[in-house]
This record gives sequence, structure tokens and C-alpha cells, in this order.
Amino acid sequence: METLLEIAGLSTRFLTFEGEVRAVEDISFSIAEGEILALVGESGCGKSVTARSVMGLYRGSRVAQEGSIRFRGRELKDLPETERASYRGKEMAMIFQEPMAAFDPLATVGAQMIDARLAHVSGSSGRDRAEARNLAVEALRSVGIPDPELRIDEYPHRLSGGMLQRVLIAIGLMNKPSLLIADEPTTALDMTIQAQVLRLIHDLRNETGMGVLFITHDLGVVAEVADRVHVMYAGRIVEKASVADLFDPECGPAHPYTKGLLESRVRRERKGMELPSIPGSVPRPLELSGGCRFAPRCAMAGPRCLREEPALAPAGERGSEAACWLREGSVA
Amino acid sequence: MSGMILEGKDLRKLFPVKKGVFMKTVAWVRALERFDFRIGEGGTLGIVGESGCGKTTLGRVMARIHEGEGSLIYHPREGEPYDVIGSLDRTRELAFRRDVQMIFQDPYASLDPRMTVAEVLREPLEAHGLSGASAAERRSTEAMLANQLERVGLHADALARYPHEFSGGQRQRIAIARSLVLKPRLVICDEPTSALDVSVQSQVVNLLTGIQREEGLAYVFISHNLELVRHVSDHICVMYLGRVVEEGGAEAVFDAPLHPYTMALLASAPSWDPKEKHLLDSKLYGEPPSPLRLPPGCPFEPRCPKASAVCKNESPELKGFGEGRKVACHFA
Repeated sequence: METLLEIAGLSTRFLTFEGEVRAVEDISFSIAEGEILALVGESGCGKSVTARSVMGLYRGSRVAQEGSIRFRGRELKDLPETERASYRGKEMAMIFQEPMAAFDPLATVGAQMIDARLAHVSGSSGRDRAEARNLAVEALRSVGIPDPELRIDEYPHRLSGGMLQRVLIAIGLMNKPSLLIADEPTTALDMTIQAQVLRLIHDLRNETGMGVLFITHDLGVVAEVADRVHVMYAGRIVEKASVADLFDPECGPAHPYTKGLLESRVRRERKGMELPSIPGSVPRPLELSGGCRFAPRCAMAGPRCLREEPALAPAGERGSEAACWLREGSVA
Repeated sequence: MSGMILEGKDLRKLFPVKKGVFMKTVAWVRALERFDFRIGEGGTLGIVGESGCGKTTLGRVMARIHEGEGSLIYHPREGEPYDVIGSLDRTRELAFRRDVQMIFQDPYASLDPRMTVAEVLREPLEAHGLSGASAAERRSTEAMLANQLERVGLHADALARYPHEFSGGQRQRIAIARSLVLKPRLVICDEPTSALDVSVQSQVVNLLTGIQREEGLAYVFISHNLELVRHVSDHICVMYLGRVVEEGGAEAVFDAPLHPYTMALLASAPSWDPKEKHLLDSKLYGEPPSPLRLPPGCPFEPRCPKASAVCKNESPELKGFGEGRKVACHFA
């Protein structure tokens, strides 16, 4: 399979009044056609900033970016805005966490879908519009919206959250993107609806062969849909593994943070007992000190962890990578 | 379970739907219907369901934030039980409000940003005239507040700080401390961990269960997270569109669900096992109907895989199956 997206050494920093926030630091990963890569982490770990950086949604003097973002071998980062825009919503589409906030409440979902199409075709004559509308109806049908010919003329407030998330996915898919970036697409939805949306993304990947960057905080969801998983903590990727290995009892996670996340799952056998938890809370980006960013919360941390920041390196025999000194046997 | 604390019989809550310039009531939403429960000292009643199922309304009716209909019998430590629905004399009102406290979902919204932590914790005491009149009494109150904070895992020096200086998990700890200063007998926890990061959720759950073990207080634990509700509860009610569809002992309901909705909910929870991926085969489609246009028969009928003609026309009663187990399904 051809590599779609290749990120190398990406850093995104925001200049705020309180200081420089290093939201994403030196991350690298790639996604191939037909692959679902999960980016997992807690709030503030930089997963959404990564997605928005890839889409090119940050501009202006208060944002500093380094590294490279290649799409099918072409560097996107230094493209002029007009050329960048031709990728956005066409080659790569993004769906956002809160479907209720992603729509313009004053326009019908159909009008918003037609706009998304016309942004990427040359004309906007009546015939182009009619064509775009047909395409929109088909897109709505493909994501399982009943009566798409009628639903297309509804305003967003008339649709439920689960429906709107489907419409958002339909908009993302209208231009047949080869890469879909889904930022917590099911977090705002109920469980039974979440299952349907996950199934939809999974099936569409199988049908169209698109690559998916799936961003979530929920490892349970990762196990259901993803092929590979990258775990982020405080702006860095701390572990890369295949989903099969990460959840395999014989292999499992290599980084103590991933271990902690996996263990803090509520299991039935532990009824009435203390749940394992990770002490403390995620550091604020302005409070980062030298050394491993997880060290202050890590039960295994030693002096070296506080001194030096570990880089990602192979861990175990199955091709996982972890940014942790433990893989060298000593943290002294 | 020894002493009874709160007993609800045929609890109901209707919300008016208003329209037009004169805000005429055009319809009623049945947010809660025919709800019976009993909760005794040291017990935990778990309430599960998806958004819109009435679980938050139920919590608020129990705490008398919303005035419900039916009967809600409070058994005070001393004296005769009384119904708290309708107007109450001041002594009874105060006694109930002191003994039944609430923890809300969003710790970013439930703490006044302009009050210091000390003021937040002192407010319930002041409302009940317990903050002390003399200087000596006030000093002992301050010492008690410092104590409370340490009990929930925060430093006493946090008293002088403002909520914005704390992370989500720490804020929820402050909210828990506030709910405990009056030494309540029953705390209603409405999604106490769903706004928190995964690694912090289990800390808060451990804190709640630890306090329960020490003090023997009772909880009503409201959540959409099945595993979590199972972990903390003795008795569970599964709600759908304002009604209980199944209830019983926590293990019984989860291990051998009898209602198709409970089965669907359990099947919608991620498996955490990439070899299973059961979400992708789950057979539940559609969404809950609007509470304004409920189907005449069973509310779950439009989505139910087992539904037949009788389900379309007749709403099933909640039938007993022994040992506190009740199910509202024609086929159970």
C-alpha cells in the first residue's frame, strides 16, 4: 500500500501572553492507504493540534511550526494558502468532535454540503449545483441517513447529534478524500450511536480504501477500529504499536503511561476493590520541565528520567516503539 | 443495608413545552415516569442510560432541585418518615437538604469562579447556620475545612486559592469535599467522572468508594458508563425514555440481561479486544424517538430486534422476577 501521509519532526508552538506553549513537539508518523491509525491521549496532549496542523488550519504570527507534512510525497507545509486549500476537504477531509458546533445553524445541511462540493469544482452554474446536490444526496445515503432527499433540506437543529455526525462524515466523504481525519468523532455521542458511527467509518474504509487518522481518548474504541496506535502524552508520542500487539496479553504496552491507561479500565473482576489509577494529573504545557514528561507521575521513574528526555526507540521484539528509559534496563 | 434513607413511589416529572408569544403550554415531555426506588444506609443505587433517558431529571427530583410528582419519603435519623414532595416546614426542609447532597457532572461549571475554595466549602455551613458565631468556633470550622480538603487528597493551603487554579480532577475533589461538609447521609452523583480525563477518573471513583466505606453513606450513582456503574453499585436501574426498562442486582443485570435494550447497551460497550471487535457486528440501528412523540406501545419497539405486534400497541409493565429483579418487556 502506498504511503499517504508522512509527518516528520512536526512541532507546533503557540505564543501566548503567559509564554510559549509547546503543544506538539517533534512527532513523526505515517499513514498508508486503507489504514486506520489511532492517535490516543488525554485532553491537552496535542492530538487535536496535530490534526489541525496536518490540515493546515493554523496560520498567523502567533503560531510557529517546524517539520514536514508530506502528502503522497509532496510537501504541504510551505505551499501557498490557495494551493493548500485545494487539498483541504478534497484530498484530506476532517470531521470534528462536536457535530452540533460544526454546522452553520442558519443554512440547511444541503446548502452546506453543496458549498463543500462547489469549493472544489470549477463552475457554480445551475447544472453544477444540481450535480452537487445529487452527490450530496448520495453521500447522505451512503452514511445511512433515512430519506436523504428530504433530510437534505433540513436545518441542523432538526437533526440529532448522531445524525449530524453522519452528515459531517458525509460532507467529509463527498469529494472522495484519500485521507480522513476524525477528531474524537464519537465522544459527544451515546454508546449505541457510537457503535453505529464506528461501524460506518470502518466499512467506508473497507469500501473506499481511504486512510484514516482516528483521534480518541478511549482505548476501548481503538481496539475496535484501528490497525495501529500511537499514544501521545504532553505533546509527544510516547509509544507506537500495532493494535494487535498492544492488546495482546503476551505483548502488551511498553510505556508505563500506556500501561496505566490500559489498567485504569474498569473491569468486573475488580468490583468493590480500588481501581488502579495514575496519580497526579496531566502537566500543563507551560509547566514542563526537563526530563521525561511522564516522570512525575510514573511509579518506575528513576533519576535518569528526571534528567534526560527519552526518545522513541524500538522496544520488545514485535516492532513496537516506546520513549522510555526502562527499555534499557536501568533508570538510575 | 440497615436504615432506610429515601424511598420513591410512582415518581414522575413532566416538563411543559411552551410556544408562542404567550408561552402557552402546547405539550408535556414525560421526563420521568412511574419510578420506584429504595435506598438505605451504605448502599449504592446505580442509574444507567443514554442521554435523554431521564437519569439527570431523576437525580434532580431526588435532590428536590426539580419538584416531582408522586411520593418521595425521607426517613430522618430521628423521628417519623415524611414525604418531601410538596411544601415542607422549615425544619424538615433544612434536615432534608442537609442530609441529601449532590455532585454534578461538570466541575468547571459547578464551582463559582469568584469564590475561594474556603468560601465554596463554607457556604453550605453558612446556609445551615453552622459556620460558627464566635471567633473560636470559626477557627474550628476553618480547621474542619482544611481537614475535609486533605481527606479528598488536596493540600490545606488550597483553601485560599480559586477554582481556576485547579485541574478538572482537583475541582471534582473540591466539589466532593463541598458535598461532604454537612455530613450527609445520601449523595447523588450525576456523572461525576465523565468530564474528567481517563487517568483521573479512577482516582475520583476510588475516592468516592473509600469515603463510602469509612462513613457508610449512600450514593445514587448516575452514569452512562456501564462498567463504572457496575463497579460501584449494588442495585441498578436501566432507563430508556424516562422509564425503567430493567432493574436488579448489579451482577444479575449485567451477567444475564433480560431486556433487549440492556442487551444492546452491553453490546455497544467496546470490547477492548481487537480479536473480538464486537461493536462492528452489533445489530442495533436507529436512535431513540423524540420524547414528544413517544410510540404508543413499548418505547424501545422501533429499535428492538425482538419487537412484534403486541409491542407496537401495548406498553409493557415492569414485572417482578424475584430478588428485586424487574423487567418491562413482553418477552421477558
